[in-house]
Amino acid sequence: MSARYLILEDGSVFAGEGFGSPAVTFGGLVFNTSMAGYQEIITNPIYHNQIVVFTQPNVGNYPIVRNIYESIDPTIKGVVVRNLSAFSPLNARDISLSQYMERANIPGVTNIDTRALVHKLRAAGKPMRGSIVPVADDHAFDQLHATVLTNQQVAQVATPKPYPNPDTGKTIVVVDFGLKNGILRELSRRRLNVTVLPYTASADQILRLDPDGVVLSSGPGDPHSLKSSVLEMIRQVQSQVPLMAIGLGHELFALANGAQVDRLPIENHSMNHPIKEIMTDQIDYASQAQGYEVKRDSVDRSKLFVTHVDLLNNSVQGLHHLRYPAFSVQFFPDGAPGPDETDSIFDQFVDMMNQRGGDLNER
Amino acid sequence: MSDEEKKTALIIGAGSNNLQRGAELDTAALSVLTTMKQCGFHTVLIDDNPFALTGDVKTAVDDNCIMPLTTENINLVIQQYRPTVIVPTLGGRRAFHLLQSVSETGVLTEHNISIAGVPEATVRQVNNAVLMNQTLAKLQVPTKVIRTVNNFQDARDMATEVGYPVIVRSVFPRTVGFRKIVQDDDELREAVSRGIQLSQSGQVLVQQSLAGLKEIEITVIRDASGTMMSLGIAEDIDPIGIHAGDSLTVLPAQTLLDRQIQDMRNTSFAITRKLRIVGVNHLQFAFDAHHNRFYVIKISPYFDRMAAMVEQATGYPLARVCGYLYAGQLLRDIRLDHGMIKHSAVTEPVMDRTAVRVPVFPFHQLTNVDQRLITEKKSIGTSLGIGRSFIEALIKGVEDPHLGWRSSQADAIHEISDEQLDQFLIHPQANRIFSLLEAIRRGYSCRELAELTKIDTYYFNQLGRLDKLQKDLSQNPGSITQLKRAKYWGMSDQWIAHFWQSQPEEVAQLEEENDIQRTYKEVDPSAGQYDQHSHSFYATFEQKNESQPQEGKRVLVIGTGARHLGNGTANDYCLAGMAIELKRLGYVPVTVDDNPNSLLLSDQVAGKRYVEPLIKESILAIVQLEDPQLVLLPSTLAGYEDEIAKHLQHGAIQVIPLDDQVEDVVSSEPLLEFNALYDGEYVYQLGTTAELQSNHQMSYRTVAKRYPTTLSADDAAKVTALGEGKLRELSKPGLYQVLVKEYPDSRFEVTLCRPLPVTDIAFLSKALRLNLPAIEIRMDLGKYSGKLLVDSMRQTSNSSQAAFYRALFPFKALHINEQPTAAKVMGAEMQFVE
Repeated sequence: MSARYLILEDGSVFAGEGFGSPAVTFGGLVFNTSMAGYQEIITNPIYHNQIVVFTQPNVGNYPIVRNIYESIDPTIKGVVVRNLSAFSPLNARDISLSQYMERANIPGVTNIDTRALVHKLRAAGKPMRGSIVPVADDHAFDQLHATVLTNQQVAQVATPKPYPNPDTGKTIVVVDFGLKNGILRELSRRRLNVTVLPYTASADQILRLDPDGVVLSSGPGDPHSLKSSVLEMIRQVQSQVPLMAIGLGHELFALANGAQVDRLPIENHSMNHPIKEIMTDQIDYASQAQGYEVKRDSVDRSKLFVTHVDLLNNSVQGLHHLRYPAFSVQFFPDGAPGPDETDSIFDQFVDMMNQRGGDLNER
Repeated sequence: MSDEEKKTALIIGAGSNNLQRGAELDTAALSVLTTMKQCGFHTVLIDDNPFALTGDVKTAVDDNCIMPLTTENINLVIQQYRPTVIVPTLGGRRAFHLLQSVSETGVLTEHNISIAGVPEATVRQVNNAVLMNQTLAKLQVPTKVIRTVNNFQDARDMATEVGYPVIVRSVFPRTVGFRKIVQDDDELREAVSRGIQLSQSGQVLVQQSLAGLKEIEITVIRDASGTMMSLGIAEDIDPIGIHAGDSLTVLPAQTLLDRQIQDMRNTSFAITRKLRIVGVNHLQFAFDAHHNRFYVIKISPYFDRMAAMVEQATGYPLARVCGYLYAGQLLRDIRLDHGMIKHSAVTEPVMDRTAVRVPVFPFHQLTNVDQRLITEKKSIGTSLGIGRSFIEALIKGVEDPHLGWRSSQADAIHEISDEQLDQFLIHPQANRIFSLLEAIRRGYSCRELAELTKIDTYYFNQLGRLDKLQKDLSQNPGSITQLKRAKYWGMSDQWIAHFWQSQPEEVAQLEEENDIQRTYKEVDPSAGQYDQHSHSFYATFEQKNESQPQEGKRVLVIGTGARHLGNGTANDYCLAGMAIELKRLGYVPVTVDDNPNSLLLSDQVAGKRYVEPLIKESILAIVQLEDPQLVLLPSTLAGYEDEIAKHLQHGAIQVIPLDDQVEDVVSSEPLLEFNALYDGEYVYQLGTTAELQSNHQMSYRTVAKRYPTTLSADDAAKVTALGEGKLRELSKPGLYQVLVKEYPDSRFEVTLCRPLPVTDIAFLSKALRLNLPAIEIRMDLGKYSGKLLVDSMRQTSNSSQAAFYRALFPFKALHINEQPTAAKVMGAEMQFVE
């Protein structure tokens, strides 16, 4: 392994060793406190434009597992760890995390004091960008400062074309804003007959498929960077069919219904926060990866009510429409990685569709 | 609060320390009871362990009932104190058995006494594997096949059904538990007959063996509203077939996929919910990685070694939280304060560190034990290493005073033949890690080792990195680059010096010159996400240091490491008692220990704690950083005294006599112990104890005694005169013991004068109701007067009771026959008699 540096906007330099792709990379720095599931995290399209710092120090402990990817082509900008685990293949087929990241063009840096780095990110109180570079000189810092990260993130990760994921249950449409496989996995588990549409799909295009329900997927970046036509689509769809929204989908659902969404000073990527369901007073834990939050006091009570809150930061974690069978969650009920205990959200969605009826002749 | 409203909690203590546990239950009890008392409970403890501290701490326990842990005695205490709630979770599995028999007398219903932590039905299930398996079957939880039989034929039918090997255990064992893996009919026949003999009900359990699978241990907490969290998922490096307490244990688990973790987490939650547990639940799983299948193998809804490890490794104050839960609070309402954020009690702890728990075996003291690791526990102590990598945590964990990478145990492995090494790999021996590293050194492949040992290749890959590190060191003596790497991965100066054939001091010098410095990290349960403080630290070699000198008058209390035979946990009793007294005198105790079960690492004892190996460089680094006003140094580490003195700017060092190799006195004549405090001028009597005759060769040994003696006034005066005379010859004030032989003609003779052994300090503190550790430390500081002592003696001496003390040994549990000697004490029990 060769010397690599992680440099930060504020001028800090962390010296380490490179792994994965040797390319120079730029991105927003976020830290994730999950203790397992690094492969799922690295392949989650939500990390487009971002460099993820793992607080769990040992990463790359086992070979890449073929059926736990969260996307086909990961778009994460870089990976920062304390220890890339020593690895040797047991079988010829086994590939290491480093080999995988090299193939997928993801740069990584190890031997970093990730705890000091997390403290720095936390203390900054605002999003911070960084770069993984072979030489931490003025030139590298100039490039870091000059780099403009795209705001067309959804366009870069979402599917440009519709595709089906057929099954025998209710018919639903998933609008892809940067869909992760976990959502499809949960829908498949419930035998739902899925068509995935690009995020540019209009309400007409969606409703023409006569779905029993519509899912707005999670995805990367700022909800405000999407065209207002997306919000219009949501307003039309929610009045016609049951709707469930996750992550970025939740933020868009909130915007479409008049709530305000703000950038968080420090992003929250974890799976250990207590999330309270207000109606039942029950506390559950779920995977969270959140850079924006719905402003609680901006929620228009004639349209929406808050269903879930994060007890640690008081952020809105779930919304429900007052008139329509439409709801959203900020966290990932599909886990992958993370606890399963909120996956009943998907059942709730199925119940909603069942109550509404639909075509009983369907097999 | 009126009497009616006053809530009283009765806590069933753990009893004497045994092979299964050291001080972990005492440490947990101290936090739980202090918290319950703060929540308005009147706390009553029943226990007979002279080495337990909790009962002597006024802020934890209101009434300390020292009596044998029997159903009758618990009933007596219930009649006297009328508790509203009874807490069985701090007394190990025995407390569950006791509670069940107490409950069967009807007293709980009669007085409307509730059980903290578990409903009564759960107590019965925990006590009965067959009942528990029925419950698990209802939940469709996969478990191993298990059957209760009372004859060989039924046992063989069962073995034929699931295939050998099977495990045979006795039901309700009379004394020690019996447990054996058997491979064929002959072995089965023998084990069944032995197990039936040892069983109170004449039955044995025969169960499917899951040997060779991965062992996973999950610790869950639940409150009365049903909120549940997983506090830690640990992995035992050794496969099932080796007792979990004898395996290296890693937190968090390193080789599991997220979805495997989630499956086991879901099952843990389902079981904990079904059993309606409030508080802690420790679940053990056998994980079959090849078939991606798991079995639930054990459910322990009470405090144990895993709870202690989780608390120390995550910084989540598990015992304190359970105190609040037992007092009726919900996780979401608990305010931990002391630097923790709001709602931290209801936030799942996450780790940005790795912890490795290392078993410490007593085989340098007990040489006749079969050192093969099996399903029965053989280790006596544990040491915890916390680091920023698995390798660092492992290296630090092994550096206990009774183990170590440069110990004779570690060195012996280099001498064995390849054939022997193969045997060690297949039939694991104590201190297995040394043979694993040796195998890597000799070029075994990871794959080969994984097959031989059933240990995940991940661990061999990491050991491979360590081996490479060492080879690079050897080839590059004096290389700063290599030195930096070695320190980064956790190697001690002593070990590095070995590879460089130089001295640790020279290595330390090089570090100093090249600014290679320890950085301390806080054990924070949010992995840095929030600005919060557990006040517990460990060292690594990185960029940023988080530990600043503790404010106030610091006293650094250095622990004695993993429990071992001799003083057992009496060391802890004494040092923790001194730390608490020093706190009362205005000092701020800062402690260091590597023993996760130690009282010294309790937040009730010290405001700041270091989980660090007790090697010289670690201690000196802490001394240098904290620059304490006072250092309490156990005499077992007295070799560091001069070095520590050099690093202190103005503080003083107090060496605490904790010699665990107490001289073994055996006498055919009756032996008396004259115990006293000598302040340099006057001798203050602490009573005379009489040794009880041992069954072994009808001799008197210092392992069973009675307080006070039954001497006539004349004889007592003679002993006192002898003892006082002997003590006046001394120059140094302190607690002393003069051993006196009694001859048939009322003649007495001094045989030995020594500092009062720490086991006797613990016993006499309870027998005399005097806080001897406090007295000793006050005297050391010159803050004690004989008058104070005499006054407090007067307050407590109105008791007409006699106290009996009996030391306990691990011989039976380890299947050996040895003479009981003071140096091999594992624990003790005491009782008062009218």
